[in-house]
Amino acid sequence: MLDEVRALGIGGTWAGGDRIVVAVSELPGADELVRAAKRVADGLRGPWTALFVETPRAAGFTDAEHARVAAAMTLATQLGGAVATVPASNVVEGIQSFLIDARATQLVMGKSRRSRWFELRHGSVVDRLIRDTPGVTVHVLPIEAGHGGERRGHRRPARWGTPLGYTVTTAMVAAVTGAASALFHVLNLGNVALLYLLPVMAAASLYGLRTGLFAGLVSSLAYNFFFLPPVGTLSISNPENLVSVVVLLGIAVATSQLTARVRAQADLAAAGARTNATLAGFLRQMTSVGEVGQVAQMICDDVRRLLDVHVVLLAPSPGHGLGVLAASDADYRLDVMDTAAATWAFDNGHPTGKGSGTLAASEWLFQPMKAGDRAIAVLGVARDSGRDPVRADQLPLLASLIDQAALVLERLRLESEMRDVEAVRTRDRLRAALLSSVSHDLRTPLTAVIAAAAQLHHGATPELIGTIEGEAQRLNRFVANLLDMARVEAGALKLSVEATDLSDAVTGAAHDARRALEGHRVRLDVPPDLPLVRADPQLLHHCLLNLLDNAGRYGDPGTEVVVEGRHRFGELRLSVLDHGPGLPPGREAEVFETFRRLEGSDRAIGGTGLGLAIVKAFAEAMGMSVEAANREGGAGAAFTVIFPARLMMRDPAPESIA
Amino acid sequence: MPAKILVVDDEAAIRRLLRGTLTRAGYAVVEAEDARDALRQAASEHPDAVLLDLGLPDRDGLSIIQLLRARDAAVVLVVSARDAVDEKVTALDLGADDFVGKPFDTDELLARLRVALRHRDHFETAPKIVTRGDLSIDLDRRIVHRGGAELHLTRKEYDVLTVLARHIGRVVTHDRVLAAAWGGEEERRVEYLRIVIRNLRQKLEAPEPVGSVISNELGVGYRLRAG
Repeated sequence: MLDEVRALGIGGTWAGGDRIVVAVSELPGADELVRAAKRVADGLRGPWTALFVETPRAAGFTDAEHARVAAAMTLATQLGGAVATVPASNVVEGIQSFLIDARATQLVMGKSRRSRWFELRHGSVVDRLIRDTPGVTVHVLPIEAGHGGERRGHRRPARWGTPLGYTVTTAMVAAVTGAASALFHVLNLGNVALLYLLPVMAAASLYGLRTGLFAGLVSSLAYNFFFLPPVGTLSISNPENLVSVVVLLGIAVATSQLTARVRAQADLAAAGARTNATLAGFLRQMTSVGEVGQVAQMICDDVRRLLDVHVVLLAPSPGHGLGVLAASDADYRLDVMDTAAATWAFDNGHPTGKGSGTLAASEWLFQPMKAGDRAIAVLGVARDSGRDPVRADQLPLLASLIDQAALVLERLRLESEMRDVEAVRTRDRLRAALLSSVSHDLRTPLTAVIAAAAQLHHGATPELIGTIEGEAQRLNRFVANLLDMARVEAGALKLSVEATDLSDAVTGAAHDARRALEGHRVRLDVPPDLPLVRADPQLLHHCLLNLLDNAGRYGDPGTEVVVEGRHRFGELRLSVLDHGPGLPPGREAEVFETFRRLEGSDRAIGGTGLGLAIVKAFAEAMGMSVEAANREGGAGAAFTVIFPARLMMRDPAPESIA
Repeated sequence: MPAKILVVDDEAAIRRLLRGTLTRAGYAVVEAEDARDALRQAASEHPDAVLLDLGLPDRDGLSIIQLLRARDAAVVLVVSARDAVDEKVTALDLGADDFVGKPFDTDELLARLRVALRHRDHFETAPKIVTRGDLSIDLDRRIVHRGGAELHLTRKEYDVLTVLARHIGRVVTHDRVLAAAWGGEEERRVEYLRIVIRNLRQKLEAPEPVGSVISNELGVGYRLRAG
């Protein structure tokens, strides 16, 4: 809605419910203001924003003042408010423009107890805001005044200008003097005074107040000495000319003040733009990565690059408390005290360690990284020199970096949770399918066995005995498959690979599958000169059993089942071929999917459900691949296990076996 | 006097089944339901053979194989549902004579038992000539006949066949075969054994199907079929 209003160009404070802005200053008591604003916002149930107006004065802030602003802004974030920093030439303008932009209806601000004299001189911010901002309710809280002396005492040393500035200025004044002397015959005295404005303005705008004043002074002296009668002395006969000197000095002061202010604002804007660009780059870089460890490493590297500090990132690992997730340097050191400080920061959500109020004995400053109310990680920074790790004026940048990084980490955490949920769902689905498969595949043969056993009371017949034997074998096969599948699912496949002769493997499998193959002729076409392969004999055996079982079940009764081994094109193919309906065209590969038979529309076609899935899982575990196809001519199905060249063994040297 | 068999299994149904089967086959049967019971019965009854289940309630069956073997040199057949290859090899190395997987084929179980007992009976007087169908292997003179004709075997083929023949009907682990035939050589590799077996089979089995004379126990070893 705000955007829309802005797009329509509707100005003024346009209330759609209350919006509260609290103006934060560098003075002590800023956090009180923030809390007050929070109470107002709670009362009005409106959104609120903590605003800091960055005036040129901000460049001269002491560390303590920077820290107070940063603390107030952080507090606002923690209390659920938004924060904003706007550059402006003075506080009143900045607040007003933000109030209009944000369409705020309530302003909370502090009023320091300053002397009447100070207010007479500077005017009261509160008074001007109240006067010039109609439609906004202004809440004023008294706050402690900063001692003027304290600030002045901490001010950075005044700029006296550079020697170069003075030299250039002197040269300019000399040049103007020379030029004016040369042209004196065509100029009157007033024009000469105007000429001296040039070096004064140039010096004041280029080199600041002191150099400008110096230019004004030198200019007026030169003007006085060379041009004002009596020429050659520094005395002034005409009071009119005194005005010229005063004007020169005045212009020097005015110009330098103006330029200095513009420059300071430009500096602030540039610094703000740099910070924003840094943050944007930081965020863009991190959103492109999807792995926690990598993101953590990037956070550490970026914070190190931007603030030139050592960085570690700690996150809770399941069951082990906080552990180091990433660090900017491999040789970081965290001792017991550091770990305690980090843990405290994580548990309580406040900064700890050096430069904070808590556990300051640690060399590191630990800042919690929060998503919502919860800390999800802790970022520690430290400097080699043992100084405070972060300069006060870097605190806002660090806070922003941490906020952004926390968001990215939180996003990754949520994504991984989503994946876990998805995996659990898939597993549940499989489990449900397994349950239905188990009940069907166990009950059918059991029913047959029980029924046949009951019949035995009336006398045994070969058919009954055959039924009991056959169905019991089926049960046995199915239980073996369940066990195999459980091993695959648990990831507990332990390979014991050895040189394997495929004719052994095929013979053994055909022997063990003889009951499933009853009613079929079985032809083993495995040439005795095939190379040996590297395989786990048990797993390969189970693969072949399942393939033969499948062929016996789906091959037409009385037809031939062929096991065929072929070595060509550098790979070895072991196929089980049947004569029967074959596979649905285009869906051949699907038969290897777990529970395909259950999920597919046609129960009869998909295969044995578990069996073929086991074939695929085992074969792939051993480095082979599987293939399902219809036989050429469409007379049945062909299932093939393919051994790549690397699984084939070269024949041993003749002397080893002689 | 019939041979006495000790059946060790914690499942009463299996014990009942085995008792019936063994009694019909002419053996005398005693039962034990756990390891402690088994050792006690072995001490008092002096069985000729023990059918041992590995999954016993009080301790692992593997751990009592040696104890059982130590008494009266009873033969031990492991009858277990565990199909881990390394456990089979361990059981054989500990002195078990053979193993049969559960669920077992009753006829096969009886055949293995017969072989193990026969081997025990002839332990002192191992035959110099092993015969099997049309095959005869003269262990002393290192001559092998098939259908009356002498076969020409390489040295390795003969060494492998000899160690299998000495244990005819029983499985011999890869390690034992390799030790017997490649014992003095640095390189003892299963693939050598595979190739030698392949060549032996061509000489001993063809045109019968592969495995009809020398059968393969997955991952464990080879067996010269008793007939």
